[in-house]
Amino acid sequence: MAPFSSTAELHAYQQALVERRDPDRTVIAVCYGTGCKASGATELIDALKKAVQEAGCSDRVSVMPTGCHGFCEGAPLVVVHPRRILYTKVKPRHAADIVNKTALAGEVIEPLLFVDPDTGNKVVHEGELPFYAHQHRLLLGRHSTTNPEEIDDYLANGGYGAWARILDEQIAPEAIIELIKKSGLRGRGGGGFPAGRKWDSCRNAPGEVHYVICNADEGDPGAFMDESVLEGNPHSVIEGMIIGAYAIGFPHSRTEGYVYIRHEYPLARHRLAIALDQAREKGLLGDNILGSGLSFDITVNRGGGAFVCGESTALMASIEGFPGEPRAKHIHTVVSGLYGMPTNLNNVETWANVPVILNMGVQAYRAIGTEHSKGTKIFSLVGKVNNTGLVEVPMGMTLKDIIFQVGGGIRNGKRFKAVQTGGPSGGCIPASLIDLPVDFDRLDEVGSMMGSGGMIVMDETTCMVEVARYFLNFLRSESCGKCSTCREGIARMYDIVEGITRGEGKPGDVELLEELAEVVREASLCALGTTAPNPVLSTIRYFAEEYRAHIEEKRCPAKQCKALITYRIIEDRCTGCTACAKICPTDAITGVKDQVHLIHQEKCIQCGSCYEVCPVDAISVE
Amino acid sequence: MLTFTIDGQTVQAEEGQNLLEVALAHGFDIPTLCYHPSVSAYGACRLCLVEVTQRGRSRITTSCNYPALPGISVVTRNDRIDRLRRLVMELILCRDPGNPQLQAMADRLGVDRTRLRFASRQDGCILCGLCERICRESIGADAISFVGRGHERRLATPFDEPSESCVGCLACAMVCPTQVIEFTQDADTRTIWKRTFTLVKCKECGAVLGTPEELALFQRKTGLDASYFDTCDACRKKQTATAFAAVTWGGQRP
Repeated sequence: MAPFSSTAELHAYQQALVERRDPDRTVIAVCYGTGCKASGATELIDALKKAVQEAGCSDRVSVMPTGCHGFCEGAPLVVVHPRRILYTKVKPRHAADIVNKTALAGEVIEPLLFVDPDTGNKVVHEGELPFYAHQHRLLLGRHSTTNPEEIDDYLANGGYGAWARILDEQIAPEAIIELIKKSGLRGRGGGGFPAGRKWDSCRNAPGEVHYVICNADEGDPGAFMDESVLEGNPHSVIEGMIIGAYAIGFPHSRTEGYVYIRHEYPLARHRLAIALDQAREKGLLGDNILGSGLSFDITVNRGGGAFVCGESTALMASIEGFPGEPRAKHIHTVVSGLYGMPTNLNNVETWANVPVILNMGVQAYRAIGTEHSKGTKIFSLVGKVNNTGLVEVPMGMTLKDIIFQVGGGIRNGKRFKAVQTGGPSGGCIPASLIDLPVDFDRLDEVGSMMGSGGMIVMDETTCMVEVARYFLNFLRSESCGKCSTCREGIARMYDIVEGITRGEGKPGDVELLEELAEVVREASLCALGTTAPNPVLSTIRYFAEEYRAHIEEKRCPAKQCKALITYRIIEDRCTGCTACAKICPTDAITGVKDQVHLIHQEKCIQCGSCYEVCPVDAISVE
Repeated sequence: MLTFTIDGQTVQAEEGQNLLEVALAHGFDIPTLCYHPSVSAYGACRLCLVEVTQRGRSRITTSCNYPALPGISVVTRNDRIDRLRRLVMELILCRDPGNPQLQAMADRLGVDRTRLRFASRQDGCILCGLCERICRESIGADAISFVGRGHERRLATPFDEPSESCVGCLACAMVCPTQVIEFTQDADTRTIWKRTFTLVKCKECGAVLGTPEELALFQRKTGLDASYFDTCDACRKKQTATAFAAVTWGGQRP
């Protein structure tokens, strides 16, 4: 079909789509985000398609791969529409039953239902899952009903409606900026800068081109918010960017768009490329979009795997073909960014919020969240929590509610110890602050930060010194290496912390770390350096006792630092079953069957295998 | 011209100048290892920290890449700046505690040793990037660049092979603040960055003029006649003086 040349044509097409679609049609939606894909969703989809074919019901039942639903713990996930029956941990061998029993006969397959560990109740419908029930899924809500590779799915759900309404109601670009300002939307990529103010500054900066960039270089370990949004609903990001281009560069300037996306996100890249092609085919990108006079297209730029390229100036240098190194921002990128032109950069989640805000209205959006942090935030909830996955909650929800209500509490009944937020340059928040409402400012106050939304939950078996060492190790490799303070400072802080975990800590180490932290923070150029000491400073602040135990007593209270722990066999308990001796990779355990065994310390590498395998808890760790 | 203050003294600067060059031009003493007036400021060493107050807000920043702005006030030394500079110096010193140039700078800042573990590769390179900038910006050869990132960053030719675009001019070695870029030269050849060049000599006196690649590049850049590069500066001066004398005094000195 020909591209839409006006909003009237778009509306007519959408109307026809809605009329043609049967809302009661049976659709078997399979989560096909990266997590479910890794858990076998590809094979599952093939098996379901085959089962549909064998049952001869392809006229009534379809199989739809979707983006990430969020409940990664239950991967792979299947939702059978229209009743939204949820099945978790589905295997290809269940395919025939799902088609024949659920899709065709409406029966619920009990063994595939999720069992709430708290109540023992089986959850039948997607919406009843406690994991989803406490969330506010403005952005993720459509993921289980949308095929991200079909623009028609987005259009049938009112997609590109925010953009069309701007044109229908002739809302001026400046008025859009005012709306975004009023909505209170703050950048979701880390800094939390008010998006409307950024757009305004960029619009007012002179230049023959105004660039609009989507930062999809999400590099925090354990974070996959932006990946999931791009995989699940790429058109929401594209629509946000079109509206941004209109607000920032129309009609006084030319506009061009870029998405800078990690090479390591093949599925997101694939789906984004499809979405861009489909948007172009429909005339939603290109010259004179919908007859508006706005010409705008988006180029995809692949990142090469450097964490620092998530920093705006490094990202722009990388697009230009230079090494990804940040530059001083005494002149802001909104004035002189990509190719020296005014450039507005926001991250994936920020752009996806734009059509949502305009669709639901500024007042309704402002009603969600806290005084200075509006709307929702997506977190990737990972670590020692029962329900790992992607969660979207209103700003201001307490850590306790996120971890215990949405996340279902700590695994294996262990004690909650700390949560690390904000990615590698964030901080560790201790259990004593569990009632903290999560928003930009409150996280800053306690020495952490929102970052892009990683949330790593830690239990009593996590050593906080080791956590600091882990993040320093990441940062010393991911610093671009330009500033001596960041490059050498992080590396030297790593040396000290690593020494402490090996039992080589000395009195004065903590003070030296604090001195180094100051110079790294104060004298480095970009946010990577100025925030890099956070993992060390926050663990020193809240877990000083653990540092002291490592340094003075050569003891790791969490029993994780290998150099500081000893495994022994408790003679009274050992039954001589030989399990430990069999699993020991260094043959450090000897003993005769049915007699007490012995660990030879000089051979032991503290791997903990014996501890895990002992059936009678006869191994102690000190 | 714009006006601001450095340590309370009013100074004037051109728009586009950075704080460090203005401060140095006015006789203020600010330490630096990565700044050179003939190339762009980069901000790698972080020694040139100053405190800038603008509209009531103060911040510590490097002066080499901070623009001179009207009305700001700049402090080049106070206890905090001194302490931070000493810490920066300790960090830089880790790269090669025995390097004489680094030791001299450490002495100047009152740092007698570094309390930190030394870097794994102690080749004296502090990754200031002056060699790379002089090669790219001033020479225009672009023969070396940074490789890798983080604590594995280093300077190298492409793929560590002898660089095809190197002209053997030695500008990198001359500008290096720690003097660790190695080169060798004998009567007829010069070797740098693993590449050996033959040397062109002055047709008059036999003094070394440079490499053929270097001379060709400079000829291209300056547009001078090729014969200009036949002789050394001293012989050319002598030739010019002789010719001048012939025209003026008929070859006879008065």
